Amino acid sequence: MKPLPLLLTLSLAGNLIGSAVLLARSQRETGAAQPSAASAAVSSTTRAKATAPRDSGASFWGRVASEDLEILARRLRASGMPRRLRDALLTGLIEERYHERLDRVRNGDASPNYWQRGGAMTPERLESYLALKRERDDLIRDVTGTDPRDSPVRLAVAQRVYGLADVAKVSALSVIDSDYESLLSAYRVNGFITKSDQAAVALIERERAADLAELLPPGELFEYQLRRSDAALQLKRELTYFKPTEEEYRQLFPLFQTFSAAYPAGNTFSFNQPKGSAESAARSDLVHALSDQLGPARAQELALALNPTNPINNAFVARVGLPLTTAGRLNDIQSTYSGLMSNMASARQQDPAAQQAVRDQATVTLREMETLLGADTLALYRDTVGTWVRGFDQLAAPPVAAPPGP
Amino acid sequence: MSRLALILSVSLAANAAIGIVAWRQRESAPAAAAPGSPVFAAPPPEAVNPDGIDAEMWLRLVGPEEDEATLTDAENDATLLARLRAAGFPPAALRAIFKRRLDERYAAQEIALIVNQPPATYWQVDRYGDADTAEMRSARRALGLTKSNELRALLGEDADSPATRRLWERRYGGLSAGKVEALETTLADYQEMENAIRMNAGILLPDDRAKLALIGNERQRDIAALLTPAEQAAYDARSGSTAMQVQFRLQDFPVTENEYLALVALQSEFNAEWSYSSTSFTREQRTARTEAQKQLEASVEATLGAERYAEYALKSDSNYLMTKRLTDRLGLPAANALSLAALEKTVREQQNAIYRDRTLSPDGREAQLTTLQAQTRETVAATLTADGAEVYEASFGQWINFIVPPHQPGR
Repeated sequence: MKPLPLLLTLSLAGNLIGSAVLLARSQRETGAAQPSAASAAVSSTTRAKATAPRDSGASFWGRVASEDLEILARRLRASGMPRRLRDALLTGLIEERYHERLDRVRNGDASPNYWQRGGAMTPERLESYLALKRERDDLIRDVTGTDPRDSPVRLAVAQRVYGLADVAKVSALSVIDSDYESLLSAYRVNGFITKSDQAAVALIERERAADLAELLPPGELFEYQLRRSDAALQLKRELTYFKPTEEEYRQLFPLFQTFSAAYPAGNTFSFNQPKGSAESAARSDLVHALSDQLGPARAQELALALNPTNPINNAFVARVGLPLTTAGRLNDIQSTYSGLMSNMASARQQDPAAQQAVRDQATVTLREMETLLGADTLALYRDTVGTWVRGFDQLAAPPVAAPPGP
Repeated sequence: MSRLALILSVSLAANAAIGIVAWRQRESAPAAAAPGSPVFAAPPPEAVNPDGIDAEMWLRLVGPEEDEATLTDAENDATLLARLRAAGFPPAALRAIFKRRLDERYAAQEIALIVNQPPATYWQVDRYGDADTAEMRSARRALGLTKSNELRALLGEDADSPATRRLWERRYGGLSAGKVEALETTLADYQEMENAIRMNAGILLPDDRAKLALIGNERQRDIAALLTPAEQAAYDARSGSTAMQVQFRLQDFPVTENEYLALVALQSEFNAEWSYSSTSFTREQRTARTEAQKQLEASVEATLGAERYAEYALKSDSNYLMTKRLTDRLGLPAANALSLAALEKTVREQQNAIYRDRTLSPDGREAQLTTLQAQTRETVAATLTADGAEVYEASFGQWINFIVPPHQPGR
């Protein structure tokens, strides 16, 4: 064959083969092999501005959807959906799945009638509720690989609550607290803890203490306990009317913590209830020990706050902005009043001089009260929480003079 | 040039063109696969999966402008929503995605609010457990409302799940979602103000009552501005403070809706005059309140009938309801709680009879009261078990402690 026809034959063959290759590649790219077409579409030059070729879209959810969340997660991951959106989507779907079930358990399968509540929460129902919540959170963790409790906002709140900056520690503390509080809430749900529950509660608290001690060095553990321990909550409650400064509180807490470990407040109603003799003695020792840390005036106020003779007097003086020692004086006067009433009853009809002596003492004491509180505050006290003072008024009043004889 | 030479030239040029196109295609394919962003990274191993889903399906759906960096851009919301809806995303998925976008969009603002507060006063009682100031809680609620409103503006009815809408229907009647959230935020703000007064020192003085009344009036005004009269009536019947009070009493005593509404109306009338604790009233006011209370009970009896009222009187008593929690906790029948409620009534009558008996000397009176107290303790222990009796007496059974009055100093 001459060279020209030979070259022409080879070149035409090359045209055919090359065209076939291009055609095949083109078919693959526009057909089943979409990634390459999409890749071309999102090349760095085209990505900068607007409209890349997109799926019509209608098929996306149809292709990824599954009732099985593991499969849905796998498909979303495979689709290239950004992780944060994927996690949000999966978390949201899981939360909605559990929302109604959780509500039903929490409200005790409440009647459909809006005016009928479910019964009070019981430990059994609370346990079911918490178990369902754990199941939900575990599912979120399994499917997304993230902890639903770890949002940046929640961590910022926790940093403030715990007084710690270390995010990892704060996150771990939140988990420890949340887990143990869940366990404890089953026992505390009704506001009381029976004796048989106390052993379980003590065990849970011991476990929590061990976890905390493992996580935190002693200094940080102390800061945690100052803020979040049961002893701290109890002390702060008992010191409400004492209004400690930060320094006073930090001084008092370690002693109270030791006392609280020996005599935990097992019953949330029982703060001002009669205690056993050992506890009463220990509490008395505690007040002395705590008072030693303060000056005499504050020590007196502390004793009134921790061992209130009449809590309503504490509340009243705190409310009207008087020092707590005023409540102590009110308590004394109230005792005097009871004694005078008793003396007046004994002296009735038999001894006018004794009666007059009681009246004189009542008048003096009433004046003392007026000096102590001021006339307006005494009137307020008499009209609200100190109605016993009205009896005092009558006691102090002079007897009605007998009408002159004919 | 011969014809053959011309055809050869064209054919060679075509070959060259095919070669260039093929070479360009080879170059462009890897370039698109690795632009650097994780979104555009080469598909992870699991992308080759049995579901036939490729690693750029999301990208083709949302377009190149939607990636990790623009996740929180508000300007993309509408476009993204349209694309996701067209792609068949269900409302629950849309809620989840856009809630997260809003959370992330406002996260920095919320965190700034939290960290810029004054230092936490950890040495004082923190009733909310969040170390936040009242102003901060209010600011965060306002931010929450902003996010909810934005979500609702974007998603419309899809913004709230069917379960949430059912819950709202139960609580508020047929209120729109926007009104529900505005109402809840308003109520929470007022609640915070009320709590600050009620918790101030544990007692209410006339000044406090005046403040509470003012707050109550302001709240009513805000609610009235937000809701139509019909909406407000539905809200009051379902979730108003009087409704809550009545529902608490009815938790162990079923009634019809008409009876319930009648009880709410009666209680509302009473509360309008006497809503606060009796410790805040003068003696005259307390007397008047006691009379009004008797009138209320008589009206309730007329509504329920004498027989049902007798049961209601027992089962609506707060001490009974608390005691029933204890019997439930101890696995005892509710009848035991009822018998303790009856016991309390009987013992109080016996106690009064002892006080009224003028033939008794002080010591004789004290001896009788002490015997009554001991008998009562025995009955309570037999009814609740020793464990339950201890809890009972330390909590809502404190009346047992006061059967014998404490010794007065000076006597």
